[in-house]
Amino acid sequence: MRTLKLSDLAAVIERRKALLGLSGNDYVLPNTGEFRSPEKRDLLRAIAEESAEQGKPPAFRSEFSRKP
Amino acid sequence: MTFRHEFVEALTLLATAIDRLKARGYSPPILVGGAAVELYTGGQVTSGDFDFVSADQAEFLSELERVGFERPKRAGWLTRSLWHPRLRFAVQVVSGALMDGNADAARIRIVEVSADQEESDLTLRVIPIEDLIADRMAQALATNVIREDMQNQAVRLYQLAEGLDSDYLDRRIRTETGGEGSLQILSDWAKSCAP
Repeated sequence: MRTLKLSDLAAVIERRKALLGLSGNDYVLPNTGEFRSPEKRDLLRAIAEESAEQGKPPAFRSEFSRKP
Repeated sequence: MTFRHEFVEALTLLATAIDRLKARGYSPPILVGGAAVELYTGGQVTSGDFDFVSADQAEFLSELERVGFERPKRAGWLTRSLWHPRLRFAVQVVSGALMDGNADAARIRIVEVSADQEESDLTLRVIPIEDLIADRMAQALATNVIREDMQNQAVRLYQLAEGLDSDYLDRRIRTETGGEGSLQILSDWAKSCAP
């Protein structure tokens, strides 16, 4: 198994981004949520509701309300 | 560092729980799914939960509770899931073999997660990136119309990685997509994907 440090992984990604000309924060699309399992959708909704009870946003940007 | 602070903090907590699990003689769980995409893209996708494959589900959940993960008193909360109230991340643990036993275990990545010298032996096992790419391609091709989100994730994982094993990647794509996909198709997608 190959071992690498998190910081080394980050460095590789930064190097590849520079080579590819990638910048900003929108070049990887989030999961649309359209095909999530009902179980996963419920879990993400529950996380969002738990976060809301703390007066905070959820720690993710994913979509969980859309249904196929 | 490209990763958000709370993501790294969560990884460190998870690695601590896994370290304790290993010390008790259990096999270490493997990170899969959206959090693995977040890891391999340098935080470009923000995942809300960490999906793990573990042969020792109950023991792993028990160690997660010891490092601060909790089971909310919410109706419908999954029995195999926990959440961390301060970091606002959930962990979902599924049993079974990684990629139904089709992944080469020798290729699993071991990531040293902590920047702290004293915690330098904290590690997480992560699905091989080739398998993750194959999984995203399979999801992209699973519907009548190619799923743009999964297609994009497959391409970006492919583009942002170094040292991919092309033969293994091609074989895994073909297996996961039932022969519909290949490394050539992924490469073609990458050429048409704008920076």
